[in-house]
Amino acid sequence: MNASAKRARWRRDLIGYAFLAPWLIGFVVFSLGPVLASLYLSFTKFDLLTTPQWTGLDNYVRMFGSDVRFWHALKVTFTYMILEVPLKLTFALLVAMALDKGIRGASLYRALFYVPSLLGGSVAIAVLWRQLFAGNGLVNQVLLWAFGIQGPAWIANPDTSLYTLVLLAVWQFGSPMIIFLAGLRQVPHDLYEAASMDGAGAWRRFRKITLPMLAPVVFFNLVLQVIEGFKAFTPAFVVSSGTGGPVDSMLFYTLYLYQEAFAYFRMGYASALAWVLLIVIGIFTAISFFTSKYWVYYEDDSR
Amino acid sequence: MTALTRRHFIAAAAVAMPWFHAQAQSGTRLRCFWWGNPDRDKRTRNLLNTYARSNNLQISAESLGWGEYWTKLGTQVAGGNAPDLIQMDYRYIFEYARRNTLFALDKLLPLADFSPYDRDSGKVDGKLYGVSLGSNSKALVYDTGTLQKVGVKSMPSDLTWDDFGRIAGEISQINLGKYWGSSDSSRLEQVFEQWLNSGSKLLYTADGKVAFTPDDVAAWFDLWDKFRKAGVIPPADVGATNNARVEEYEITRGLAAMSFIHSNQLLAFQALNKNKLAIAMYPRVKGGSPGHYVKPAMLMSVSAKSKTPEEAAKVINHMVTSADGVKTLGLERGVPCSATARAMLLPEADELGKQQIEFVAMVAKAATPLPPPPPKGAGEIENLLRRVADSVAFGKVSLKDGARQFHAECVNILARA
Repeated sequence: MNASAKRARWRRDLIGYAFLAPWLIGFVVFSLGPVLASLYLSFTKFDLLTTPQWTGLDNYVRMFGSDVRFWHALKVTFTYMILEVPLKLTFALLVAMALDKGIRGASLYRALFYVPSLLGGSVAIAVLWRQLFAGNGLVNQVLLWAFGIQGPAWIANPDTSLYTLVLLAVWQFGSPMIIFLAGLRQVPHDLYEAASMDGAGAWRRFRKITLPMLAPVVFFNLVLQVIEGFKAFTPAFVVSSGTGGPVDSMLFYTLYLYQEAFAYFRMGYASALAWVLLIVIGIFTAISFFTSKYWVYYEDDSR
Repeated sequence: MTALTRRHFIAAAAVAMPWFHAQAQSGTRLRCFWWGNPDRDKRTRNLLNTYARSNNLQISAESLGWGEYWTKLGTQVAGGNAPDLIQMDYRYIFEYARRNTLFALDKLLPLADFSPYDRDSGKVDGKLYGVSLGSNSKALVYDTGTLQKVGVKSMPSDLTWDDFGRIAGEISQINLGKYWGSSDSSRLEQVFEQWLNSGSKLLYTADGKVAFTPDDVAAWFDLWDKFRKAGVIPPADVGATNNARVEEYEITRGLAAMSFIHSNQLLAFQALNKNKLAIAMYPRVKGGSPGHYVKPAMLMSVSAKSKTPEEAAKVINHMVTSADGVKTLGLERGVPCSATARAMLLPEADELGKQQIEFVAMVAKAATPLPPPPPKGAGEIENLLRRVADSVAFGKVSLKDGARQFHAECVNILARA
């Protein structure tokens, strides 16, 4: 390559970078800077108001060694995820398949079913949830009226409170549903026809055609939902009034992090918690990607 | 063409900039933040609006419930976005002052007609960081009608815990399983502290260490465990979502006849309760002292980051000394500390107000001295007790383990703070 061509190419790249600049500057100043600062802070004792003191690995030693609430928060978050992600994905897939059948008014239903996803993360819905599942809330009134069952105080009871949050999450199945719906449209119809002619039933068609063809979409949704699950905060925060209680039963990891940082002024420790969260999410995403080659089939795969 | 329009645009923007700037700067802006209830919010907003109008400044007002208030305040202070006027609690003022987040008000507010006791209640390490908006003491609020049903005309103020359990137990018999004698207060730090004080013990030592033993905690949990098992107080899931908002207490929800509050809250509770309420001292341990003390119900502080601390201090001065301020706030935040303010309110006080004033005067006579200031981390310990007491109430941990766990965690929190 001669010099002038090199210069021309450099100029072309420069224009590209110039257009990217607003995003790049934003990323460096508002994301990368704080991220690096939090890495430094995670090795300090920092109450936000006085200068941070270097404490080496103390925060991490404490976290893994003696912090009972840290382990508890992890347990709560995992329990939530293990229930919420598969339930939500199953439900989203079922609804998507029903809508894909070409029933009348499908686009209306699609829009309606998507509404909870728009509202679900909001404070208003979390407040509504608190009312619905209170000891004398609507859910218990219906249970009493329809079945004569006196339900527990769902949210005030540490044995049931987390499940109300799982339900709240599953209710927001809209966005994976839309993605599944798009995926289903991609499945060639002649495959189903051929299978039907060979005498394959609905269940068999689903297992042998729909699922394998949809695997990349399932995988995409799974990764997205796992990350979302780890990051869930607002519902637990609002439903438990910021406490994570009763008895820490709704203490999501993010909520614990928030309390340490902003209620108890331990920003150094909270930064360390944030980094551990990042690593945990990283590990789970890596596991998903690593195992994906055994169960995800890509049409343009050259293997 | 394009260059020309661009130049025009820049020129126009350059002309407009100072104008925008001036718009943003005209008039002093103050922000005031407090924890409250509907009644307090109304009074405070009225006061701030009137003051802002007559002094040609802008005051924005925010309020939250007790539980949420402290996390929100912490977030704002930490983010360098603290409100100018901050409502403070005696439990937190030492922590906030020692983290250099509050402005020392000694020079701005002489508080001439406060008694030294009242003035000093807002001091940390010899400097004035908060002005008491009124005095209160802990108080047991009760439904007078229900108490009469079991033959108690008015609660005596030398009630023991045994008496309390007996009376509450009788009330629970009236409408079995639907209505109880008292709310479960094993989770309330203020009640635990009074129980300790009554037995001549303390929550914290003068040098900010834990002053009680695991056995004390176990005895405390045991007291409430017996009440719970006997059906004197409701099962655990009735009170587990109470984060100290007036509407969350069992007495307001029509589930119990007695709850543990502070004397100034009588007004807020009465506002949300149809039945006639009254207050008495908390029960005491057999042969013990009342364990009560008079303290600032709440203080008003100025943020160290405030751009106009003088203006903010003037608002506080207006609250505690001017006729308009004193009358607007009334007795809702406790009995005013200024003698002039008390003189203004006394003649007009209604029955509730009189009851509150008499109660605080009675406690002042019988009071144990103000305990040592709560150390950094006291706020976290308040939440910790809720959590551990709930685990005991729900049977998640045994009483002994819960007690040991609470004590150990307290030591831990204070060591880290």
